[in-house]
Amino acid sequence: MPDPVEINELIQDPPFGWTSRYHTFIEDDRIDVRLRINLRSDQQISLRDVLKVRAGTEDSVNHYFNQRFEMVDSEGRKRPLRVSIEFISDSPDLMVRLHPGKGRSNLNHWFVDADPIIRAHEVGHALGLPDEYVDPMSKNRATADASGIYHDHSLMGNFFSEGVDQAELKQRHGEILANKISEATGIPLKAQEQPRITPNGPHEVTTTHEFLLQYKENWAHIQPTYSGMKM
Amino acid sequence: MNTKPRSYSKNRKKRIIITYFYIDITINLLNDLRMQSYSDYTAFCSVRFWVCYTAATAAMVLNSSSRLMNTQDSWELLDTSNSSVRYQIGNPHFEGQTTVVIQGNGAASVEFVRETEKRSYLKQLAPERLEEVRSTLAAYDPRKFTASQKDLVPDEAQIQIEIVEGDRTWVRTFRDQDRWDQSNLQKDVELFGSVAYEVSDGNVQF
Repeated sequence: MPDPVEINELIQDPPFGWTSRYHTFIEDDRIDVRLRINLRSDQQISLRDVLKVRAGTEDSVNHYFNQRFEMVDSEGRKRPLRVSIEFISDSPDLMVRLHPGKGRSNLNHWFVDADPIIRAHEVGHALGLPDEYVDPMSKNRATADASGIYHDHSLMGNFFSEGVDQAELKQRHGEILANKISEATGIPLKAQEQPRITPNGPHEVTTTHEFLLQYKENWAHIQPTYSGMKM
Repeated sequence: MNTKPRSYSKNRKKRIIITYFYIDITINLLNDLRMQSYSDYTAFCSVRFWVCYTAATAAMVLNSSSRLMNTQDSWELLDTSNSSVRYQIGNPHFEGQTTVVIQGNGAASVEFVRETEKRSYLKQLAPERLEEVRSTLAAYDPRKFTASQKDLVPDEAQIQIEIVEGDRTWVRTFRDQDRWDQSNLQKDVELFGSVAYEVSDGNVQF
Protein backbone atom coordinates (compact mmCIF):
# COMPACT_ATOMS: atom_id res chain seq x y z
CA MET A 1 0.00 0.00 0.00
CA PRO A 2 1.47 3.39 -0.95
CA ASP A 3 2.19 6.03 1.67
CA PRO A 4 -0.59 8.53 2.19
CA VAL A 5 -0.03 12.12 1.11
CA GLU A 6 -1.60 14.79 3.31
CA ILE A 7 -3.51 17.64 1.73
CA ASN A 8 -3.86 20.56 4.11
CA GLU A 9 -5.13 23.89 2.86
CA LEU A 10 -6.75 27.00 4.30
CA ILE A 11 -9.85 27.84 2.25
CA GLN A 12 -11.14 31.41 2.21
CA ASP A 13 -14.62 32.51 1.14
CA PRO A 14 -14.90 35.66 3.28
CA PRO A 15 -16.38 35.87 5.87
CA PHE A 16 -16.12 32.07 5.77
CA GLY A 17 -12.82 30.34 6.33
CA TRP A 18 -11.83 26.76 7.12
CA THR A 19 -9.07 24.20 6.89
CA SER A 20 -9.49 21.43 4.35
CA ARG A 21 -7.44 18.42 5.43
CA TYR A 22 -7.47 14.86 4.12
CA HIS A 23 -5.17 12.15 2.75
CA THR A 24 -4.75 10.69 -0.69
CA PHE A 25 -3.24 7.38 -1.82
CA ILE A 26 -2.16 6.86 -5.40
CA GLU A 27 -2.84 3.22 -6.21
CA ASP A 28 -2.14 1.46 -9.50
CA ASP A 29 -5.79 1.07 -10.31
CA ARG A 30 -7.40 4.02 -8.49
CA ILE A 31 -6.83 7.18 -6.45
CA ASP A 32 -8.13 7.00 -2.90
CA VAL A 33 -9.12 10.03 -0.88
CA ARG A 34 -9.65 9.40 2.80
CA LEU A 35 -11.27 11.78 5.28
CA ARG A 36 -10.95 10.92 8.96
CA ILE A 37 -13.77 12.32 11.08
CA ASN A 38 -14.02 12.57 14.84
CA LEU A 39 -17.74 12.45 15.61
CA ARG A 40 -18.39 13.43 19.20
CA SER A 41 -21.25 14.74 21.28
CA ASP A 42 -21.85 16.47 24.60
CA GLN A 43 -25.46 15.38 24.57
CA GLN A 44 -27.09 12.03 25.12
CA ILE A 45 -27.27 10.31 21.76
CA SER A 46 -27.94 6.61 21.49
CA LEU A 47 -25.38 4.30 19.92
CA ARG A 48 -28.01 3.37 17.38
CA ASP A 49 -28.29 7.00 16.25
CA VAL A 50 -24.51 7.40 16.10
CA LEU A 51 -24.22 4.29 13.96
CA LYS A 52 -27.09 5.55 11.79
CA VAL A 53 -25.26 8.82 11.18
CA ARG A 54 -22.00 7.02 10.39
CA ALA A 55 -23.63 4.61 7.95
CA GLY A 56 -25.73 7.39 6.40
CA THR A 57 -22.65 9.55 5.88
CA GLU A 58 -20.70 6.70 4.27
CA ASP A 59 -23.61 5.85 1.97
CA SER A 60 -24.16 9.47 1.05
CA VAL A 61 -20.48 10.08 0.29
CA ASN A 62 -20.35 6.89 -1.75
CA HIS A 63 -23.43 7.99 -3.69
CA TYR A 64 -22.25 11.50 -4.54
CA PHE A 65 -18.47 11.16 -4.76
CA ASN A 66 -17.70 7.68 -6.05
CA GLN A 67 -18.06 6.42 -9.63
CA ARG A 68 -18.10 10.09 -10.50
CA PHE A 69 -14.61 11.09 -11.67
CA GLU A 70 -11.57 9.54 -13.26
CA MET A 71 -8.20 11.14 -12.78
CA VAL A 72 -6.17 11.18 -15.97
CA ASP A 73 -2.38 11.58 -15.74
CA SER A 74 -0.02 13.05 -18.34
CA GLU A 75 0.38 9.64 -20.02
CA GLY A 76 -3.36 9.30 -20.45
CA ARG A 77 -3.68 6.68 -17.72
CA LYS A 78 -7.09 6.79 -16.06
CA ARG A 79 -7.72 6.01 -12.42
CA PRO A 80 -11.14 6.26 -10.78
CA LEU A 81 -11.36 8.56 -7.76
CA ARG A 82 -12.67 6.88 -4.64
CA VAL A 83 -13.59 8.87 -1.54
CA SER A 84 -13.99 7.09 1.79
CA ILE A 85 -14.80 8.20 5.32
CA GLU A 86 -13.21 6.85 8.44
CA PHE A 87 -14.60 7.62 11.89
CA ILE A 88 -11.77 7.78 14.38
CA SER A 89 -10.94 9.40 17.73
CA ASP A 90 -7.25 10.31 17.36
CA SER A 91 -5.74 12.84 14.93
CA PRO A 92 -8.85 13.46 12.85
CA ASP A 93 -8.97 15.62 9.74
CA LEU A 94 -12.37 17.00 10.76
CA MET A 95 -13.96 17.48 14.18
CA VAL A 96 -17.75 17.21 14.20
CA ARG A 97 -20.14 17.65 17.11
CA LEU A 98 -23.28 15.60 16.75
CA HIS A 99 -26.61 16.91 18.08
CA PRO A 100 -29.91 15.09 18.46
CA GLY A 101 -32.96 15.80 16.31
CA LYS A 102 -33.10 18.33 13.50
CA GLY A 103 -31.24 21.60 13.17
CA ARG A 104 -29.04 23.80 11.03
CA SER A 105 -25.97 21.80 10.13
CA ASN A 106 -22.60 23.23 9.24
CA LEU A 107 -19.10 21.84 8.69
CA ASN A 108 -18.55 21.22 12.43
CA HIS A 109 -22.08 20.59 13.73
CA TRP A 110 -24.27 17.79 12.43
CA PHE A 111 -27.76 16.67 13.47
CA VAL A 112 -28.91 13.08 13.78
CA ASP A 113 -32.10 13.60 11.78
CA ALA A 114 -30.64 15.82 9.07
CA ASP A 115 -31.01 14.76 5.45
CA PRO A 116 -27.97 12.61 4.46
CA ILE A 117 -27.27 14.90 1.48
CA ILE A 118 -26.27 17.61 3.97
CA ARG A 119 -23.48 15.43 5.35
CA ALA A 120 -22.20 14.74 1.82
CA HIS A 121 -22.29 18.52 1.28
CA GLU A 122 -20.23 19.07 4.45
CA VAL A 123 -17.75 16.39 3.39
CA GLY A 124 -17.45 18.38 0.15
CA HIS A 125 -16.31 21.37 2.24
CA ALA A 126 -13.86 19.18 4.13
CA LEU A 127 -12.37 18.23 0.75
CA GLY A 128 -12.04 21.93 -0.16
CA LEU A 129 -15.19 22.56 -2.20
CA PRO A 130 -16.82 25.95 -1.59
CA ASP A 131 -20.53 26.73 -1.27
CA GLU A 132 -22.34 27.72 -4.46
CA TYR A 133 -25.62 29.14 -3.13
CA VAL A 134 -26.48 32.79 -2.56
CA ASP A 135 -25.32 34.22 0.74
CA PRO A 136 -25.55 37.99 1.21
CA MET A 137 -22.62 37.80 3.65
CA SER A 138 -20.22 36.34 1.10
CA LYS A 139 -18.36 38.61 -1.32
CA ASN A 140 -18.39 36.02 -4.12
CA ARG A 141 -21.95 34.86 -3.53
CA ALA A 142 -23.87 37.94 -2.48
CA THR A 143 -26.41 37.86 -5.34
CA ALA A 144 -27.91 35.29 -7.70
CA ASP A 145 -25.67 36.43 -10.59
CA ALA A 146 -22.43 36.59 -8.57
CA SER A 147 -19.38 34.69 -9.83
CA GLY A 148 -19.51 32.00 -7.14
CA ILE A 149 -23.16 31.05 -7.76
CA TYR A 150 -24.33 28.03 -9.76
CA HIS A 151 -27.91 26.95 -10.42
CA ASP A 152 -27.12 23.61 -12.07
CA HIS A 153 -28.22 21.10 -9.39
CA SER A 154 -24.86 21.15 -7.68
CA LEU A 155 -24.25 19.24 -4.45
CA MET A 156 -22.64 22.44 -3.17
CA GLY A 157 -25.53 24.66 -4.32
CA ASN A 158 -29.08 25.23 -3.11
CA PHE A 159 -30.34 21.68 -3.54
CA PHE A 160 -33.19 22.38 -1.12
CA SER A 161 -34.87 24.51 -3.79
CA GLU A 162 -33.38 22.93 -6.92
CA GLY A 163 -34.17 19.37 -5.87
CA VAL A 164 -32.30 16.98 -3.60
CA ASP A 165 -32.73 14.07 -6.04
CA GLN A 166 -31.04 15.96 -8.86
CA ALA A 167 -28.04 17.17 -6.88
CA GLU A 168 -24.63 15.92 -8.00
CA LEU A 169 -20.98 16.85 -8.19
CA LYS A 170 -19.98 18.74 -11.30
CA GLN A 171 -16.89 18.67 -13.51
CA ARG A 172 -15.56 21.81 -11.73
CA HIS A 173 -15.56 19.90 -8.44
CA GLY A 174 -13.56 17.08 -9.98
CA GLU A 175 -11.07 19.67 -11.27
CA ILE A 176 -10.67 21.19 -7.81
CA LEU A 177 -9.94 17.74 -6.35
CA ALA A 178 -7.56 16.89 -9.23
CA ASN A 179 -5.65 20.16 -8.74
CA LYS A 180 -5.25 19.60 -5.00
CA ILE A 181 -4.11 16.00 -5.43
CA SER A 182 -1.71 17.09 -8.21
CA GLU A 183 -0.16 19.80 -6.04
CA ALA A 184 0.26 17.45 -3.09
CA THR A 185 1.62 14.42 -4.99
CA GLY A 186 3.49 16.16 -7.80
CA ILE A 187 1.63 14.03 -10.36
CA PRO A 188 -0.23 16.18 -12.92
CA LEU A 189 -3.85 15.01 -13.02
CA LYS A 190 -6.98 16.08 -14.82
CA ALA A 191 -10.50 15.14 -13.84
CA GLN A 192 -12.85 13.47 -16.23
CA GLU A 193 -16.48 12.66 -15.50
CA GLN A 194 -17.40 9.01 -15.28
CA PRO A 195 -20.83 7.84 -16.43
CA ARG A 196 -23.02 8.05 -13.37
CA ILE A 197 -24.33 4.72 -12.12
CA THR A 198 -26.77 4.74 -9.24
CA PRO A 199 -28.00 1.53 -7.61
CA ASN A 200 -31.69 2.34 -7.94
CA GLY A 201 -31.65 5.18 -10.41
CA PRO A 202 -32.75 5.10 -14.01
CA HIS A 203 -29.18 5.42 -15.37
CA GLU A 204 -28.18 1.83 -14.71
CA VAL A 205 -31.25 0.45 -16.42
CA THR A 206 -30.97 2.83 -19.36
CA THR A 207 -27.26 2.24 -19.83
CA THR A 208 -27.64 -1.54 -19.75
CA HIS A 209 -30.68 -1.40 -21.97
CA GLU A 210 -28.97 0.86 -24.52
CA PHE A 211 -25.86 -1.30 -24.46
CA LEU A 212 -27.86 -4.44 -25.13
CA LEU A 213 -29.78 -2.77 -27.94
CA GLN A 214 -26.52 -1.61 -29.52
CA TYR A 215 -25.08 -5.08 -29.07
CA LYS A 216 -28.10 -6.61 -30.73
CA GLU A 217 -27.95 -4.21 -33.69
CA ASN A 218 -24.17 -4.29 -34.24
CA TRP A 219 -22.88 -7.68 -33.18
CA ALA A 220 -25.66 -10.19 -32.96
CA HIS A 221 -25.38 -11.08 -36.64
CA ILE A 222 -21.63 -11.72 -36.31
CA GLN A 223 -21.89 -13.90 -33.24
CA PRO A 224 -25.05 -15.94 -33.82
CA THR A 225 -24.37 -17.94 -30.67
CA TYR A 226 -25.80 -15.08 -28.63
CA SER A 227 -28.58 -14.13 -31.02
CA GLY A 228 -30.99 -16.28 -29.15
CA MET A 229 -30.68 -14.15 -25.98
CA LYS A 230 -33.91 -12.58 -24.80
CA MET A 231 -33.50 -8.85 -24.88
CA MET B 1 -51.71 42.97 31.86
CA ASN B 2 -47.98 43.39 32.01
CA THR B 3 -46.22 42.10 35.06
CA LYS B 4 -42.55 42.62 35.75
CA PRO B 5 -40.40 39.54 35.35
CA ARG B 6 -39.00 38.27 38.63
CA SER B 7 -35.40 38.50 37.67
CA TYR B 8 -32.88 38.36 40.45
CA SER B 9 -30.35 40.37 38.53
CA LYS B 10 -27.01 41.57 39.88
CA ASN B 11 -28.49 45.10 40.30
CA ARG B 12 -31.27 43.84 42.53
CA LYS B 13 -28.78 41.90 44.66
CA LYS B 14 -26.64 45.04 44.92
CA ARG B 15 -29.61 47.09 46.15
CA ILE B 16 -30.41 44.46 48.81
CA ILE B 17 -26.80 44.47 50.02
CA ILE B 18 -26.80 48.29 50.25
CA THR B 19 -30.03 48.28 52.27
CA TYR B 20 -28.55 45.77 54.73
CA PHE B 21 -25.42 47.91 54.91
CA TYR B 22 -27.46 51.00 55.96
CA ILE B 23 -29.28 49.00 58.63
CA ASP B 24 -25.99 47.57 59.90
CA ILE B 25 -24.46 51.08 60.24
CA THR B 26 -27.50 52.32 62.21
CA ILE B 27 -27.48 49.33 64.60
CA ASN B 28 -23.73 49.65 65.20
CA LEU B 29 -24.02 53.37 65.98
CA LEU B 30 -26.81 52.71 68.50
CA ASN B 31 -24.70 49.95 70.12
CA ASP B 32 -21.72 52.32 70.31
CA LEU B 33 -23.79 54.99 72.02
CA ARG B 34 -25.08 52.48 74.55
CA MET B 35 -21.82 50.63 75.37
CA GLN B 36 -18.96 53.11 75.16
CA SER B 37 -17.93 55.09 78.24
CA TYR B 38 -18.48 58.87 78.16
CA SER B 39 -14.72 59.67 78.22
CA ASP B 40 -14.04 57.64 75.10
CA TYR B 41 -17.24 58.57 73.37
CA THR B 42 -16.29 61.86 71.70
CA ALA B 43 -13.11 60.58 70.01
CA PHE B 44 -14.60 57.22 69.09
CA CYS B 45 -17.78 58.71 67.70
CA SER B 46 -15.80 61.13 65.58
CA VAL B 47 -13.82 58.32 63.93
CA ARG B 48 -16.93 56.20 63.59
CA PHE B 49 -18.81 59.12 62.06
CA TRP B 50 -16.21 59.50 59.27
CA VAL B 51 -16.10 55.77 58.64
CA CYS B 52 -19.88 55.66 58.37
CA TYR B 53 -20.01 58.84 56.29
CA THR B 54 -17.48 57.43 53.79
CA ALA B 55 -19.27 54.08 53.66
CA ALA B 56 -22.66 55.73 53.19
CA THR B 57 -21.31 57.97 50.41
CA ALA B 58 -19.79 54.96 48.65
CA ALA B 59 -23.06 53.09 49.04
CA MET B 60 -24.99 56.00 47.54
CA VAL B 61 -22.60 56.19 44.58
CA LEU B 62 -22.92 52.44 44.04
CA ASN B 63 -26.69 52.68 44.33
CA SER B 64 -26.96 55.53 41.82
CA SER B 65 -24.63 53.80 39.35
CA SER B 66 -26.73 50.69 39.74
CA ARG B 67 -29.85 52.69 38.82
CA LEU B 68 -28.00 54.23 35.88
CA MET B 69 -27.13 50.73 34.63
CA ASN B 70 -30.71 49.70 35.06
CA THR B 71 -32.01 52.49 32.86
CA GLN B 72 -29.31 52.38 30.21
CA ASP B 73 -28.04 48.83 29.80
CA SER B 74 -30.50 46.37 31.18
CA TRP B 75 -33.96 47.76 30.86
CA GLU B 76 -36.54 45.03 31.32
CA LEU B 77 -37.49 42.86 28.33
CA LEU B 78 -41.05 42.72 26.94
CA ASP B 79 -42.13 44.99 29.79
CA THR B 80 -44.65 47.16 27.94
CA SER B 81 -46.95 46.83 24.98
CA ASN B 82 -44.58 48.87 22.78
CA SER B 83 -41.66 46.57 23.48
CA SER B 84 -40.63 43.58 21.40
CA VAL B 85 -37.93 40.98 20.88
CA ARG B 86 -37.01 39.81 17.38
CA TYR B 87 -34.95 36.70 16.64
CA GLN B 88 -33.71 35.77 13.18
CA ILE B 89 -31.58 32.83 12.08
CA GLY B 90 -30.41 31.35 8.81
CA ASN B 91 -30.13 32.08 5.11
CA PRO B 92 -33.26 32.26 2.89
CA HIS B 93 -31.17 30.97 -0.03
CA PHE B 94 -30.22 27.64 1.56
CA GLU B 95 -31.77 25.96 4.61
CA GLY B 96 -34.18 28.88 5.04
CA GLN B 97 -34.52 31.85 7.34
CA THR B 98 -36.71 31.83 10.45
CA THR B 99 -37.85 35.05 12.11
CA VAL B 100 -39.68 35.14 15.44
CA VAL B 101 -41.10 38.40 16.83
CA ILE B 102 -42.65 38.53 20.31
CA GLN B 103 -44.45 41.71 21.36
CA GLY B 104 -44.79 42.91 24.94
CA ASN B 105 -48.56 42.31 24.74
CA GLY B 106 -47.98 38.62 23.93
CA ALA B 107 -48.54 38.74 20.16
CA ALA B 108 -46.04 36.39 18.48
CA SER B 109 -45.31 36.04 14.79
CA VAL B 110 -43.17 33.46 12.98
CA GLU B 111 -42.01 33.68 9.38
CA PHE B 112 -40.07 31.09 7.40
CA VAL B 113 -38.57 32.10 4.04
CA ARG B 114 -36.74 29.82 1.59
CA GLU B 115 -36.30 31.30 -1.89
CA THR B 116 -39.84 31.87 -3.22
CA GLU B 117 -41.44 29.86 -0.40
CA LYS B 118 -42.77 32.02 2.42
CA ARG B 119 -44.83 30.88 5.39
CA SER B 120 -46.18 33.19 8.10
CA TYR B 121 -47.91 32.40 11.38
CA LEU B 122 -49.40 34.60 14.09
CA LYS B 123 -50.65 33.71 17.57
CA GLN B 124 -51.34 35.30 20.92
CA LEU B 125 -49.21 33.75 23.64
CA ALA B 126 -51.06 32.75 26.81
CA PRO B 127 -50.22 35.03 29.78
CA GLU B 128 -48.33 32.27 31.60
CA ARG B 129 -46.32 31.46 28.44
CA LEU B 130 -45.49 35.15 27.96
CA GLU B 131 -44.37 35.27 31.59
CA GLU B 132 -42.19 32.22 30.95
CA VAL B 133 -40.66 33.93 27.90
CA ARG B 134 -39.98 37.08 29.95
CA SER B 135 -38.40 35.24 32.84
CA THR B 136 -36.21 33.15 30.49
CA LEU B 137 -35.03 36.28 28.68
CA ALA B 138 -34.41 37.99 32.03
CA ALA B 139 -32.43 35.02 33.32
CA TYR B 140 -30.49 34.63 30.05
CA ASP B 141 -30.38 38.23 28.93
CA PRO B 142 -29.08 38.28 25.30
CA ARG B 143 -27.38 41.63 25.98
CA LYS B 144 -24.92 39.90 28.29
CA PHE B 145 -23.60 37.52 25.64
CA THR B 146 -20.52 38.06 23.54
CA ALA B 147 -20.46 37.79 19.78
CA SER B 148 -17.39 36.03 18.43
CA GLN B 149 -15.38 37.76 15.71
CA LYS B 150 -13.89 34.58 14.22
CA ASP B 151 -14.38 33.42 10.63
CA LEU B 152 -17.61 31.56 9.99
CA VAL B 153 -17.35 27.93 8.89
CA PRO B 154 -19.23 26.85 5.75
CA ASP B 155 -23.02 26.80 6.15
CA GLU B 156 -22.77 28.40 9.59
CA ALA B 157 -25.89 30.44 10.27
CA GLN B 158 -25.95 33.86 11.85
CA ILE B 159 -28.30 34.62 14.73
CA GLN B 160 -29.60 38.16 15.10
CA ILE B 161 -31.44 39.29 18.24
CA GLU B 162 -33.08 42.72 18.38
CA ILE B 163 -34.70 44.18 21.50
CA VAL B 164 -36.99 47.20 21.23
CA GLU B 165 -38.30 49.14 24.21
CA GLY B 166 -40.14 52.27 23.12
CA ASP B 167 -37.62 54.35 21.20
CA ARG B 168 -34.62 52.32 22.38
CA THR B 169 -33.25 49.50 20.24
CA TRP B 170 -30.50 46.98 20.97
CA VAL B 171 -29.33 44.59 18.28
CA ARG B 172 -26.52 42.06 18.09
CA THR B 173 -25.51 39.40 15.57
CA PHE B 174 -24.01 36.15 16.80
CA ARG B 175 -22.50 33.29 14.83
CA ASP B 176 -24.05 29.87 15.31
CA GLN B 177 -20.91 28.65 17.11
CA ASP B 178 -21.57 31.25 19.86
CA ARG B 179 -24.58 29.30 21.07
CA TRP B 180 -22.52 26.12 21.39
CA ASP B 181 -19.79 28.04 23.25
CA GLN B 182 -22.22 29.93 25.54
CA SER B 183 -24.84 27.62 26.98
CA ASN B 184 -26.94 30.58 28.17
CA LEU B 185 -27.29 31.87 24.61
CA GLN B 186 -28.35 28.36 23.63
CA LYS B 187 -31.19 28.69 26.20
CA ASP B 188 -32.47 31.72 24.28
CA VAL B 189 -32.11 29.93 20.93
CA GLU B 190 -34.08 26.98 22.34
CA LEU B 191 -36.72 29.40 23.67
CA PHE B 192 -37.22 31.08 20.28
CA GLY B 193 -37.17 27.68 18.56
CA SER B 194 -39.93 26.46 20.87
CA VAL B 195 -42.00 29.61 20.23
CA ALA B 196 -41.53 29.11 16.45
CA TYR B 197 -42.68 25.51 16.80
CA GLU B 198 -45.74 26.45 18.88
CA VAL B 199 -46.86 29.42 16.82
CA SER B 200 -46.44 27.53 13.51
CA ASP B 201 -48.10 24.38 14.89
CA GLY B 202 -44.91 22.43 14.28
CA ASN B 203 -44.37 23.64 10.72
CA VAL B 204 -41.24 25.64 11.60
CA GLN B 205 -38.85 23.48 13.59
CA PHE B 206 -35.65 25.52 13.75
